[in-house]
Amino acid sequence: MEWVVSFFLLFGSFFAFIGALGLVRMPDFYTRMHTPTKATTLGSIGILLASTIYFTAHTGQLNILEPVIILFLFLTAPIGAHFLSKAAFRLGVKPLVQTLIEKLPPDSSPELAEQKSKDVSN
Amino acid sequence: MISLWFVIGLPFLASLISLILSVQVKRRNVYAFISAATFAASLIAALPSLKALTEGQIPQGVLPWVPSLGINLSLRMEGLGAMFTVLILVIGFLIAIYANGYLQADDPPARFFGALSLFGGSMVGVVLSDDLIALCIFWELTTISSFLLIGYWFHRERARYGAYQSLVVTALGGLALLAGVLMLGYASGSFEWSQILQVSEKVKKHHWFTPALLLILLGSFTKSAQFPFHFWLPNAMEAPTPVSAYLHSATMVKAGVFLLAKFHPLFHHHPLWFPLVGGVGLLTMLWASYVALHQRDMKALLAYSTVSQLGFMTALLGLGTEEGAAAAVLVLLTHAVFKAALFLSAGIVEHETHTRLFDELGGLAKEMPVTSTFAVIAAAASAGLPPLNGFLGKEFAFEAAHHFAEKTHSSLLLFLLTIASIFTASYSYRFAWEVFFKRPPQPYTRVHEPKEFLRLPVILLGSLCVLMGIAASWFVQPLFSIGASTVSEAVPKVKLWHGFGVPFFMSLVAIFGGALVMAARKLLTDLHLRLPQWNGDKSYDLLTKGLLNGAELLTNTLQSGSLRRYLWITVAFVIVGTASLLLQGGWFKFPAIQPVPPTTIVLSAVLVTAAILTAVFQTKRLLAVFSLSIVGVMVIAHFILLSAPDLALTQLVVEVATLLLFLAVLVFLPKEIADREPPAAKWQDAALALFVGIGVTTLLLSIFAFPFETVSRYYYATAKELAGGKNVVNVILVDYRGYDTLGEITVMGIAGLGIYSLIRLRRRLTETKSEKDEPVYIDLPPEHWTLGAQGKGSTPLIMTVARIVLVPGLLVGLYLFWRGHNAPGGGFIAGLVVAALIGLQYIAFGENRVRRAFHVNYRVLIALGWLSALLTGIGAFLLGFPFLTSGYRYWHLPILGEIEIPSAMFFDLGVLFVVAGVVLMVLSLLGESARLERARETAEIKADERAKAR
Repeated sequence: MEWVVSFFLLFGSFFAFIGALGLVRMPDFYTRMHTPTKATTLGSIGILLASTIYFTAHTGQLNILEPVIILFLFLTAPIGAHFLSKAAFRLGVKPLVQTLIEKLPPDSSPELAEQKSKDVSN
Repeated sequence: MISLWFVIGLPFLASLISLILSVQVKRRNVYAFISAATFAASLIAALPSLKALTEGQIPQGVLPWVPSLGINLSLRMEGLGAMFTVLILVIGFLIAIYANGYLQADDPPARFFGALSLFGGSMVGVVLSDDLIALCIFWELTTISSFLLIGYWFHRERARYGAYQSLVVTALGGLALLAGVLMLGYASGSFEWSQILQVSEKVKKHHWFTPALLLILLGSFTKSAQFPFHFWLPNAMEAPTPVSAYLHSATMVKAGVFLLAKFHPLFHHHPLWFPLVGGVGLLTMLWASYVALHQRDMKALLAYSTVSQLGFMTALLGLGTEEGAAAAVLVLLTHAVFKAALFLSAGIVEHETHTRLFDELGGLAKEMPVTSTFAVIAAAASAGLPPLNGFLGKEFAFEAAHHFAEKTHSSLLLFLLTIASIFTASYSYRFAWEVFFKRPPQPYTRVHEPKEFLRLPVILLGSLCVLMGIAASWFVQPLFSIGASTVSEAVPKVKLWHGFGVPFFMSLVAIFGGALVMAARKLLTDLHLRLPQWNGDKSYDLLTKGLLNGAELLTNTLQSGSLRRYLWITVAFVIVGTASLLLQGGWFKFPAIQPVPPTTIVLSAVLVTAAILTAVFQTKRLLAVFSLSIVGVMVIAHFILLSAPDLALTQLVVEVATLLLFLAVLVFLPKEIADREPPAAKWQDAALALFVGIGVTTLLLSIFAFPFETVSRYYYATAKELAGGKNVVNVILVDYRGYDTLGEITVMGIAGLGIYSLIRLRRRLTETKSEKDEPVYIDLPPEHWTLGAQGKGSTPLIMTVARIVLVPGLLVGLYLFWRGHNAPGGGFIAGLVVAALIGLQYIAFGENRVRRAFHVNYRVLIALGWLSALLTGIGAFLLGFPFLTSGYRYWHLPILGEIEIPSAMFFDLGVLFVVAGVVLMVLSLLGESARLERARETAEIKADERAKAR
């Protein structure tokens, strides 16, 4: 039992750390956004799972709170990330040229289209 | 005695019936009949009481009103009140008949007779009330009915002015009277006059005795138009003449004299009584009789003569002797009869000739001999000619004054009374001469005797003037004995002939001196017109204008429209208010500080930082909103740490709703505000904030230093038993302090509706034609769907989540509501959860889509919620319990088992509806406004583009 709990704790801490590290290390807004939303969410889930298992074992009752939190994290994290990136895109925050893969039509962000035409001409 | 209630109730009933009929019936006869018949019936109902009174009993009746404050609607027919009742009802009856002939076809009758009956009832209430609070209420009712009647022809500017002025002056006096009565009540321990009299020795020693006297005198003087408050009465002459005769001569203005007479036994030994009451009375009498002589308008003459006679009565009461008070009662009785007759004949003259100016009148004795005869009799009575009732009253009064003068060895009083009587006689002569005998300025056409309705009351009253004089023991003595019994223990006999004494000599001087003055009138008037003119109107205008200007100035200073200033003033006022108490010292104690857990320290640090950041970011709205949210979240954390789950839950949903609303509003505001405050103002703000912070901190610290017993123990002990709930917080909200909650949701509902009208109003001001009233559904491209105009485009992601969350979320809300009575939750929390969930739909799908799917009129929702809460309260009331008592019952349901349904649940449901309704209404309104604004912008841009393309 202790081993399982320890595993999840370590698992969670690791990803939380990765997420934090990524926030510092990533080169631009869009890439930087991935780490807190993805890695950190995963890390939180690990810690929450550890907590579920520990308290379920300890009290002998199924602990339902943490799974609910996980559920809500799953609901909110992607929406948050999505809106952040969307807002950034609208505001014309420039992504790294290396990551430029266009899925939206080019005219949806004038600045981007401009930048891209510049990049192409370069 | 039960009949007393009929005496007072019938006129009110008549007023109510007139009001109800006014929609359907337009015929004047109907209303006049109702009014006259109820006055007559009321008089008949009073007969048994009068009989009982002469047999030595005092009829009374009590109806509990606010027993907890010692206030009852208690009636007690004392002698003076009985006399007044007869006077009010008899003259009221005659006036109703007269008014039926007086009013014109296009005067709305229901309004007139309704107010007349209302007045009659209130006046009877004034004279019969034993409870002084009830007396004050009836007193104000007479003021209001007088206002309504003076302003009856409200299309005239002078009528509106007079009505408003009389209301201001007499209502102010009424307030003073109320204050005086309250003082008397607290000094004596009762508001019942009969009981106050029994402890009069105690009252006289109380330190409020003198202030109470002064205040009551103020009430009395304003009502009875005593100097310097007399000026409203001449202006009140804009009323229809029957009203002037009834209210402003025979009865209402005598209420002040009545009050003086009623309070006479208690106050007349007070050292201020004679100088104040006697002095003011004499001054009024002298001055008004002098001014009356110079009036150009016959109603104005009668008005000033009324003021003068009221001064006469006041002066007699001011003597402080029982004989003087009895004389005042007699003068009052006789004056009511002859002055009513004079007013009514003046009304006939105006009705027939369409003028009230002496210059345009004359010689009417030829045109209307019958009316003239009785009018001249009344004028003669007013002048004090024997053997009429005026002479009777004057002789009696002079004798009382003579006795007083002998006692004080000063004949100044007699001298002044004689002077005033000379003027009284002269203006009475003038009235008779100028209207009926002098050669008319131009011959009349079509002037003749009036209709019977108009003539009959004058004939009756005029004959009464004679009868009261020559047969005093039949026509005066019975009523006078009853009336004077209140002020005088031994009731004197009235007789016409007092022998050749000082009083008779005074009368003689007045009668002949009056004739001389009348002869020299032109000279006197010329002289009078050269003197500087003063009447109270100018002072009144100046005062009211000053008051209004002052109020405007104050309003403009305090409510400058700057939110910052509002906050500043409010907070500064709180500081000053509390500081005056706190500076007395002795309250500060440093409590024993308990060890603080590290979590609390961290949370507090974050809270403080966020609060500071909010202040720093105040020019950047979005940042300010977010740091404010952090403050909120930290507060939630504190609530959890202090184990207050209900508060934490509430705060949580409040934070969500607040953030939603904030963001919806931000759309309409510029992103950044210019920092316009000068540095000095900032320092001021900082100083104020520092003050508040330090003050609140020290207060909180010292509160914890004092040992105190909380009420929570009581709630814990009784919540389950009394209210059927285990969650004390919720039980307090819906049961123990249900009244508060009801008030709060009322305020919330009103605030919500206020926001609704404000936003709608703003939109109407800025909106173009096509978007009037109901919003037009425009199918905008998806980027305009969202709640705010800023959000460009919703995403499938949030739509999906919003859909998924909706139903489970509503279930959670229902669950929180259901368990609220026993566990954290309740209507407020559930309401906000529902609001937040539907708010999420607004964000995800856009306001117009949600509206089409989920069509709820939030205003109706708010109203329904409020009604539900109110009806729950009334339900308990109907079952015989106090308002808002809650009950609970256990139901056995097939599957769910035993279920407890407290009545408080319906109350809580009301709270839920109101809360959800207000939040959602504001959200949808803001969303709608944003969408419409956006649509207009788009349309403008497109129009521009088209124009450019061309």
